[in-house]
Amino acid sequence: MTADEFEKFIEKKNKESQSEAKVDWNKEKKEWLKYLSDLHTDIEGFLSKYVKAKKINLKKYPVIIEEENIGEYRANAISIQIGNESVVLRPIGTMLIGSKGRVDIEGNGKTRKIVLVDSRLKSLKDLIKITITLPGENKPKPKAKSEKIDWSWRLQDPDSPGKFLELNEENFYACLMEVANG
Amino acid sequence: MARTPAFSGESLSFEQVYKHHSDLEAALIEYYVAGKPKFIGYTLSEVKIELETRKLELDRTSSFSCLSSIEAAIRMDYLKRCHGKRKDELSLKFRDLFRIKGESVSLEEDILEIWKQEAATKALASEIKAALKYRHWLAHGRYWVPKLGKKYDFTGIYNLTILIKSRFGFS
Repeated sequence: MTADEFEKFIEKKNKESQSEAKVDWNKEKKEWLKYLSDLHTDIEGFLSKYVKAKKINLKKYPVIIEEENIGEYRANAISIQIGNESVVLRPIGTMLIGSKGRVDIEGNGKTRKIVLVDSRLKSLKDLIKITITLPGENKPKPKAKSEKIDWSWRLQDPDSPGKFLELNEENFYACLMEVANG
Repeated sequence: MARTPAFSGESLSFEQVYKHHSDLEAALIEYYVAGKPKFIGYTLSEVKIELETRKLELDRTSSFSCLSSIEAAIRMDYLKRCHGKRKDELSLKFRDLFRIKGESVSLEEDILEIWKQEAATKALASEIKAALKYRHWLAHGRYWVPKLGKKYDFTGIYNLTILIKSRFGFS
């Protein structure tokens, strides 16, 4: 390690912290909480007829989340009671890798994940783009980083962690049954 | 005296075990750098915890490999002395042992006990015997709570090999 290399290291780390400082973390938190609220609305919709018939009990309650850069804040979890079985939809946060948010569905020692990902994503393969350039050909332009992402909630496929399932009624019921040990 | 058994040539030197461990650890850390598609939805804390879990498992696998290399080195040295013509006291004791037990000799109860009779290697031979309890725990599936007396890791076990090389003076 030379003095030059150390100098470059210091520069790099300072630049990184400056670009982090430009992120509006309060805005990030609000966006994530809005998406979380939308998820809860969807789930309440999936279960509404059972709740109305008093076969399922839904309860929303606040939990504390602590995340780097954002700090401590409250978000809502949902408890789903089906007979003697209890399943919790626990919000994990927004400071995640490749995802804007995550909610874990927990019950009977099992966990499934609902992640907020780019709505175009069906599998991890969608994140990888391989291009082959032959000698003499022009390299393709990289995608613009500022492209706005349309986030949407997806269920991680338990049989294939690289795949994401649409969060619809059918998939949610299957997930709930699995976690509640049905 | 029976012919020296042919060695397989497959036993790893201590340096080979070290390099293998070192490269695998570097590869593991690189794999866990944030940004890999596998980690979509992970928090950074979850990535770190999983990496530490993997590193611990690698440490144990490498420790087992290192202890196996130690066993191989000691046994191979024993057999070479038994079939050779060295006149030092250690070699003579090994040949006496071979006459009684041949190759079905216990590393811990027989070979290391003789190394313990030498002043220069007494303490180290005891340390190796103690470390072999860790090896047995790893080899037999770790299902019981081991009474090891100290905490073992790959670094500590590799340090043993450095002492072995300098004090045992394997032929």
